[in-house]
Amino acid sequence: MSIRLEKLEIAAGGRKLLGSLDLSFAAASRTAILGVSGTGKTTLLRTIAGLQVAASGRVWIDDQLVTDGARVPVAPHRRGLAMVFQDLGLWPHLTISEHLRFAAGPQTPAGWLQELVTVVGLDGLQKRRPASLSGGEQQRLALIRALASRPRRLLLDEPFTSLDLVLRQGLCELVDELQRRYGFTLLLVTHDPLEALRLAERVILLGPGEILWDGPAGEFRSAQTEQLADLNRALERWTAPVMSGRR
Amino acid sequence: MKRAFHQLRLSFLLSGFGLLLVLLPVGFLLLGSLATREPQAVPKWLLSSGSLELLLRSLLVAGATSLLSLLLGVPLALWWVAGHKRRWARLLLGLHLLPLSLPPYTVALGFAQLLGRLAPGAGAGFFYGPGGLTLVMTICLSPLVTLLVAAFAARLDGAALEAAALSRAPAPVLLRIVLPALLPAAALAALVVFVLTLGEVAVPQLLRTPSWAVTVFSRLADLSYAPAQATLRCLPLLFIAALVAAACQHIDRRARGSLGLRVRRIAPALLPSGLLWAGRLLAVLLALATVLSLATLATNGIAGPGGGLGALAASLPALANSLTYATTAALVMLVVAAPLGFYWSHSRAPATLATLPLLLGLVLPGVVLALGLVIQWNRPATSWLYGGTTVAVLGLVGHYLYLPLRAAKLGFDRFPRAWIDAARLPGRGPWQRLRTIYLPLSRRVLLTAGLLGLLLGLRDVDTLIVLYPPGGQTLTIRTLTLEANSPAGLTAAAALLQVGTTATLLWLLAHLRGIMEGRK
Repeated sequence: MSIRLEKLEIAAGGRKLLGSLDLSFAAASRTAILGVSGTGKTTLLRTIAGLQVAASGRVWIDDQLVTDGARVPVAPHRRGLAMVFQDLGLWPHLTISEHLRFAAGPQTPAGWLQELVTVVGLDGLQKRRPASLSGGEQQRLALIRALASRPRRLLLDEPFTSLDLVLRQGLCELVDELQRRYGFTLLLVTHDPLEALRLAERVILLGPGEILWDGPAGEFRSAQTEQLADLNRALERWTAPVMSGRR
Repeated sequence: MKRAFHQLRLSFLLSGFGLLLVLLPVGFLLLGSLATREPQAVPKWLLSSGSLELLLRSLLVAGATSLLSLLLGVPLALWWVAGHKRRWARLLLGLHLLPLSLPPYTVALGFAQLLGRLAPGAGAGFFYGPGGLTLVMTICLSPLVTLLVAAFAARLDGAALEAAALSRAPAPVLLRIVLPALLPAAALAALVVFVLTLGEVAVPQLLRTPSWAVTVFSRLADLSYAPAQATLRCLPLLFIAALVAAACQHIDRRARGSLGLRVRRIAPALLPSGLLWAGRLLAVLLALATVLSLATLATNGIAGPGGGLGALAASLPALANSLTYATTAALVMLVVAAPLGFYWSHSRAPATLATLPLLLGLVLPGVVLALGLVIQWNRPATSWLYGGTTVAVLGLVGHYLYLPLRAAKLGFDRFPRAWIDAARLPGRGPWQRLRTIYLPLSRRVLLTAGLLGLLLGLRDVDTLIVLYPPGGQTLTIRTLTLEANSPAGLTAAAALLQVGTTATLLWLLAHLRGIMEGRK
């Protein structure tokens, strides 16, 4: 298993968000974690990344214990994972090349970084800083910065929220292509069911303090829970105009 | 069109105050230097080996103080921002920050009395020299670095730091991401520390250390009164201050561009643990230094020779003078800073050039600005202004207005635009809007700007030492005068009164802000 959560409890600001999670994510799998705001999606991702401690329980990566309650035996940068943040978190003083070199480390061959730049279409912009990039270019930079260190796991925290529909669709396709090409384990946190269905083969729906649904993406529509029904209705509203070409 | 008009009005007002309070005195100073009797001797004197050596020595002390302040202030700021909210940590930080609000002379006096004016070789040799000057100025001004860097670090983009932490270990993250991002704040603070040290008059006098700013002041003292020579000696300081003001303005613009949107404390795990330990150790050492100096003043002021309640009471008239000048100057600054800060905050275009003269007033050594005011106003036709307290208040306002103005602007920056728009929509008149909406919302901003002006006026030595009217000696100047020819207890009592007044004001500021936050 690439990532395993064992009786994991997470809290934020003294409030328990999720209790006793037992979940596994296979290598090279694609999972979307769905849920409304405040259910702990982002906190779960940050706990897996080691940026936040757990209230209790364990996180295993490649059968190595990386988080044990409030203890973090393995530092974030040693977990073989990368993350794309909702706010992107680009470094304003570094150029695209410098972003990639810092994230990749000194041993990474330059050819790999050039390949990434080419794949996402940022060729020729390597000397630019984030402030001089468009929203879509910044998003693509955040994505390749995460991939620069060749992570075996990629965590995406609502990375497309601030984008318009066309850009969002394009980036979803890009992530899809990158995952197929490089074979990393993908964990996507989103509140957009359409995005989840586009990218994931497995969907986990979080409700207040618990998992409401965990199963293949294909079966997601037909599941019968109250919150899922709400989400499905929302999904219908989103997909219908897109499918009919009106959006 | 309307926006352009507002922008023009803002620039006109800002530059008008800058012109009146700073550029005119500087202009008179330059004219005064041209009118010296032997203009051909000026370059020769400025380039003489003695002059150059003194200037170089003063620049070296200022540079060393800046460097040392950075080395102490940056780790302390990061330790602060990394979430150390325990009571003892806050106490340590409070003790570290306190000297910034005091005249550096007060802290130096505490150390001088502690060392008991020992002869060189018995440990005091280092203190009465450039080393001691650097040390005292570092203790007093490094809190500026701590404050600016901490304020900046708390606004760094949390996601950017976490993204770095996922890629690399804490040490490279600190070197490649955190420190470069903090560079504008650190550079800004270092430059201000540099000019403040260069312009300091009182501490070098106490420590009997030659300094360029002291040579300016000494030409204005009674026995060797030579204003023309003082004017000439101002020129290098004026030149350096102008360079620093331009550099500060440039860095300030860059700093705003690199700030993140969210205020978030840096998680301790993202920083090297060695750095946090260093921050903790430095906080203890600097707090200890403050305690040692102030405890000596307290002991001597209460129980030392010439000290006691009588000595405290004898300094009360000087305190009253200090409060009169500082309060008047603070009120003037508040009346100017509040509306201009509001305009500045809500104008789209940056008021860079318009605020440059006021920034120059801040970084210009107080004694230089004061000399400009003397040349400008010391004439029969303007004796009504020069003869009383007005010129002293004018000096304080010109020297410090930039800081309350900037504080007001930063405070108003936090106002959502919607507050202003929503207040305008119901159609109430400007007075009612001001009374019902703007003033209650601005209480914290006004309080901060006003008390900041008051504190700056109270701690001032360099401006008032030239401008105070006969019989209008302030507490800082009384302390300085007493030190030369009075028992240690009497001097310490005056300094203690200064510390007590400042501490009370700081407590009041924290308390009132707390009350206002509670009400919100």
